Amino acid sequence: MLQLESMVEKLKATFYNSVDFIAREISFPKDQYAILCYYSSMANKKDVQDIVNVLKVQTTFNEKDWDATTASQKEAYNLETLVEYVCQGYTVLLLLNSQQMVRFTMPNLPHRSPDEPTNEAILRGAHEGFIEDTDVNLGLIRKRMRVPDLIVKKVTVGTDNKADVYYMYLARFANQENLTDLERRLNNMKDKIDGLYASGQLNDFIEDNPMSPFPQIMNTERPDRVFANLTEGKIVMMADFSPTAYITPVTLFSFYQSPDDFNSRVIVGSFYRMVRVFSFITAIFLPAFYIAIVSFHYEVLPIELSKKLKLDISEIPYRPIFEALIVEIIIELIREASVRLPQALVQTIGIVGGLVVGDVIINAGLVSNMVVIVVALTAISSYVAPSVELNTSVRVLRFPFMFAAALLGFFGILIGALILGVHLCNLGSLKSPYIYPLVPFDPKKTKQILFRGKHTTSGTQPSSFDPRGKKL
Amino acid sequence: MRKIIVFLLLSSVFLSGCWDQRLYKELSIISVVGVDGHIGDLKAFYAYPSSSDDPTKYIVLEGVGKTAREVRMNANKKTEQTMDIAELTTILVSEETAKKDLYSLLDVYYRSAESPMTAKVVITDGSTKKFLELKENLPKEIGEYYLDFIQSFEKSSIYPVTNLEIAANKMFGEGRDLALPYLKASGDKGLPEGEGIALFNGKNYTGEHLTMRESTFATLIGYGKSDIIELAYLMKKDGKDISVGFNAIRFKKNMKVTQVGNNIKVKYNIYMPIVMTEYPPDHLDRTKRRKELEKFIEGRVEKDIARMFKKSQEASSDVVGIGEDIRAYYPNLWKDGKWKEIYKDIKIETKVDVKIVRSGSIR
Repeated sequence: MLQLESMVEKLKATFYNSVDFIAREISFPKDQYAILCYYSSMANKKDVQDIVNVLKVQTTFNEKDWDATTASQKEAYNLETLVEYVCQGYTVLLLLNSQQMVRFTMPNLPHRSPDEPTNEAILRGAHEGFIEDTDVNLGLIRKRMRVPDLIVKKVTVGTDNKADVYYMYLARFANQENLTDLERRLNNMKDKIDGLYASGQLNDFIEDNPMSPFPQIMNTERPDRVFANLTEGKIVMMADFSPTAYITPVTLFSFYQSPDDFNSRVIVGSFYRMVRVFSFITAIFLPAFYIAIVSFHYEVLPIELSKKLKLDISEIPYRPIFEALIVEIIIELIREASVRLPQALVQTIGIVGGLVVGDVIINAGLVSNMVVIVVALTAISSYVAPSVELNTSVRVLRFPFMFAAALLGFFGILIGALILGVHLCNLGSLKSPYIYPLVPFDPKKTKQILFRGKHTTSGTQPSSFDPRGKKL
Repeated sequence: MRKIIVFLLLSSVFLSGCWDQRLYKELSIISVVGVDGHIGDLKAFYAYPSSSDDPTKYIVLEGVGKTAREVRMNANKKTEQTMDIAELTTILVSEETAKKDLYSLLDVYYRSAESPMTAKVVITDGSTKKFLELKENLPKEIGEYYLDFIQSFEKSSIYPVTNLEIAANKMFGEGRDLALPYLKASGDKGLPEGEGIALFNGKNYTGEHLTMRESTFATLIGYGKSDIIELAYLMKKDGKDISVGFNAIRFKKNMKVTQVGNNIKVKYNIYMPIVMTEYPPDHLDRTKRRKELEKFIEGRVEKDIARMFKKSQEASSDVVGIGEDIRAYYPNLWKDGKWKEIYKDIKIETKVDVKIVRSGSIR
């Protein structure tokens, strides 16, 4: 008895006497006494009681496998493992006499329901999203993918606060080379970080070129998107307790595909995909184009437009690049403010930012009409990309182009575009070409950048790479 | 290296006048130029918009000088900004000025990369000043107004499509002479009015211009049909005046060249299916009536064409480009540098075949 009490004290001390840590002696037929320890915040007391009851019954007639239920397993007592288990939310039943412990692996961690992610809304199709629970997330994928060769593997990363990174792939489609490459990168990450605090850590370690403005890993919170990508032979990573799935290797154009394309009609889907690809061009080049025109090449303006524009900008006290920068920065401010603010106040910001600032700034003569139109159009086009990372990248990319245009006009834009083109050609995602099928050129697949084919005809759906996982 | 890049980026913001930057807001955009006088004593008028609320308002700058460039420099002294002609739509040249080497006046435009090669060159009746200082308020900006004005004539096949670039080609080419729009001021308001084609001989204006109807046929034979062809004649029959109006659907010409002794004979066979747009007596369903009308139109058209050729031969201006055809298809008849002498004496015959294919909505 004494030993029992001192053991309870010792356990409590191990957990720094946290109030939510429970260590309680219970009577147990096999050993007379046992200690049940768990974090009350992470265990469901009723479930624990159920298992204890079952075990009590089992010990009376089954000498050998008395511990076995779907969620319990006995092993030799070891304080360190015990601590680890309890920290993970397991319940441990400690049998003092036989120096054994039984863990109940049924943590009851709080999580929300799998609602549609707000930053990746679609019109039609499944409205489920990943949540902060790995089992639920894997369940959401497994529920769609009813095959045994969806392989899920786990790597534990971090030296201090360990976290699990899961990666999964379809065995018959995934490319072995990609897989070993990814495993190498994950292992490399293992002891270089203390813990997994931000999803950016995973991005930076897996990406070929973290300094590139273009994301080489697609982040998504949509299970249907993950499912579609798995069937294309891609590898999906998920971190513990994070709703974000990381898909690799991807191409630039896969960021412009939305599940909406495949759920809507052929013509409608194709049209909106074209609109999106077009938006990539306007989002990067439109402000630069404007600056180049009013600084260097106004001859290209149609005569009807030119007079009005000319008279508008004559009264602006500074150079076009400044003008454009002012409006760009205002728009970025409004965007940032509306992300941070509570939902109820976002509308206020929209009205203050959009209507008041937008209108008054023109009347006050700080900027011209045209630059507001140009920047607003650019902002809208940059939000069209269905992927959050890409649209932020594209927004950042237009600034260098604006400077190039202010320096050298169309010539500057051309130089910028050349550098961008070379960069894109060099870029890879897990060493697969980033702008395939443009480089290396594949005429049949190039069509699929803009059009979505009929589902009835096989091979008309865009896939970034060969489904057989052939590396290019 | 990074410092250099940052420095360059910052300088693009703070330094003005990078490279060959021309800030749009610092320029006076000239849309119409009028040229009077002659080299040695030249005068030019430049119109540019002045009000931001009303783009139809404009100021006319006057420049005086000995050469075209000097005139422009002098006019530039009168603006608060820099004059720029990159968006020029129309160059008006007075009749008297064009008579003496039009090219030497336009040379200044061909030599700078900023000049718009799509600007229209127009010959005016009298000084160009009155075409710029219009008493009536124009519905649109003056440059646009003149551009649309000329283009509407080009669309109805009255003027051939011309611009600065085409004008230079014609001035130096031998087989076809330049044909520029000719404008005159009409009424007490002095609004511009289209008045046929100004006939050129090489680089010089001959002083002759065609009437509107002659211009239409010169354009049709020399350059082909544009969007529409509209014509109207007055038919006198049994002492009554009958108005005849029609649109030609096609204008198909066939050219035959024969040599008669030392002379060249050119014969045009023209086929012109038409749609009646005006014919009060009606009953065009009757074959006899139709044949009669077709014959009348054929006769009038042939007469107009003959008059047009006569005028052009007298002015020694090969407006329809017979020379080009001869050089291309009958090289044995072509003599380099002597075409103008030959052109004066060639015999031109026209046979027109008109067919009424539609009689309009009422039968």
